[in-house]
Amino acid sequence: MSDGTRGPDTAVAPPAPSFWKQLQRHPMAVASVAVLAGLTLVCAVGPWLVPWEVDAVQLDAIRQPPTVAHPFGTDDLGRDILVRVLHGGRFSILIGVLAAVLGTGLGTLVGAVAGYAGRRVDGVLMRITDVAYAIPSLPLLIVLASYTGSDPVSMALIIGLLSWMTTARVVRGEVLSLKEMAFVEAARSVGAGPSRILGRHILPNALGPIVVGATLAVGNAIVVESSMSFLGLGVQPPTPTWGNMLMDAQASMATTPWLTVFPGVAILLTVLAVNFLGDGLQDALDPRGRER
Amino acid sequence: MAAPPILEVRDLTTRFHTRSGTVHAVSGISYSLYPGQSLALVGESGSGKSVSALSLLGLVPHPGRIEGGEVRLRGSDLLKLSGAEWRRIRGKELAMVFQDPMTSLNPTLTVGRQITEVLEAHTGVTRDEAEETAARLLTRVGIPDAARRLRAYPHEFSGGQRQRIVIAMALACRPAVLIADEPTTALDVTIQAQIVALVRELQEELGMAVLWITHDLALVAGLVDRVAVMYAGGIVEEAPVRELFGNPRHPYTRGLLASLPRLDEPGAPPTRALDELASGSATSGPMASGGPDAGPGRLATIPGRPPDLLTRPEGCAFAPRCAHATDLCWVEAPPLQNVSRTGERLDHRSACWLWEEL
Repeated sequence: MSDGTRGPDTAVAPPAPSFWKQLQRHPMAVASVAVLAGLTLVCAVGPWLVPWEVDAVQLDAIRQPPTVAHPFGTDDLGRDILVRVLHGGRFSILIGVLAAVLGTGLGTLVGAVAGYAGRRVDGVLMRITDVAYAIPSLPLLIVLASYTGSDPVSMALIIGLLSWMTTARVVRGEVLSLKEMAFVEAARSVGAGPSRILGRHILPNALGPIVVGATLAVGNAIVVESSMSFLGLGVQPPTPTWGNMLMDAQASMATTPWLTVFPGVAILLTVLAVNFLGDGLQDALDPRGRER
Repeated sequence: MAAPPILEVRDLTTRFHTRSGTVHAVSGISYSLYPGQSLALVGESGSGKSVSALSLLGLVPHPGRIEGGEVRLRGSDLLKLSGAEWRRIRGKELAMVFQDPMTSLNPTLTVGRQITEVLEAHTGVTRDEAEETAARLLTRVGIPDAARRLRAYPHEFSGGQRQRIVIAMALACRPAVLIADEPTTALDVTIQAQIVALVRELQEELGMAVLWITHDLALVAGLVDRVAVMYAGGIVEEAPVRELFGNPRHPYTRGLLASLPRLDEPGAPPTRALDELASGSATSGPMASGGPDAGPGRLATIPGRPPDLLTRPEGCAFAPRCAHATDLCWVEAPPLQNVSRTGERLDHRSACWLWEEL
């Protein structure tokens, strides 16, 4: 067997298409990446480029429809809607991302521990998850918000704390199936401990569904924040978010529709883009899809 | 057998407590493995051979538990170790190569990382040293251009190459004992031969003992020093390989040997029987008469089916399928006893009351 290095088994499998190539098969997902990147960039730098201050009250220019000076119009106090939408975007996107990271992180932790430890630990953690699921989240959000206050970071924290359950269930399922895989047994057979097995062998293989869940959670958090603000329980004026701008505008929706349309379209675009991206990622990150 | 055994298994018992009852997967098996020697555990699917291998590493899956016996490595009992102590043994002293190379590597890590992880976990080497060793190992197991291919992912290799990588991973820390759990079953025939040859070469080079777990008696013939035949969770016969093939002293072993096709007999059917033996379906074949008596041109099968491990029979587990069973066989299980011929003690044990008459 001196020629063991040369044989039919030296054939090299073609490399799997890259993640980006795979994502490009979903034009909507690619467009969504562009939309989200564009929105984030515009919200980040835009407020400096618009010649209006976010809180600048101009009583001589109230309720103006879109003009050249105020492309999105002005509100009841003569504040520029464009700069407020851009500012609000900063907070809405910040809340969305922060809440998604927190919720996904917590959910991944709970799901991974439950799935890996199994038996009693799994039973206890999953029953806690069931209970958390069963509590209507809006009343709980309202109660929590009354304790934490309603600045953007607190809002992100409580939304994140109330949105980990889906991730926990998904991750638990993934871990349950991955821990039976042969490579996990192989890793154990060469002396890997539980943290190494979970951190290096199981979770990286569950990254697809985790990332997809996180993406969708961003959209969800933005919607929840908007609902909270709409009820007057979210981030308080004068700090703008897309949600509380909508709330401010509700009384005058018929007479000054631009107050509603622009923040509404911003929410719609962002959440839609996030969801399309989530769908695209789901396909692109699925290893079974990539091995074709 | 002057040197003490490197691995000594005594009365190893592993059971699975399931909802439908207790599965007696391994029932008190004993064997010894000497340094540099190779032993094959042969049996059909469900005979307990794989569970007994996993028991050696303390990796019996839930709800299975090792319920008794000893696994002595260099004289000290592994079953008394804590989880952390056992982890230090795995991969360093005892390592295992699994059946399916397509799934036994982590798809998200480069093969280099998977090998260096083992080295870093067990020896105090730096990342650079570990990478050097990994490249050497890959070259040794026959992966060309090893230094570059360390950065490749498992899906970029073929099945045979992946099994070579798995072997490199198992041997990274030069273990004293390698457990090869049907490492060639998932590969095609030409590559099987290469992998078997590779393991043999490495065994000689490293002076390690190898425990082959297989259902393939034909594979074992030219490969190992000793063979232990497992049936229903117990060892029914154990002997040096030539002795076992030449002088089988258990009806089950005889049945297995009789169901192997022979190329030197004209009219012998093709290798169908091997596949049947492999899948354990030989037992569900036509109810031919007791193995050894089947006529030429037709492969013998063992009548009946393997026993249900949920119930331990009173007597010999093989009795229901045995052409020679007597009243005694049904009521009392035969011990694994030394077989001797004309006063001369052979290194041969059989668990059959009738070993003398066979």
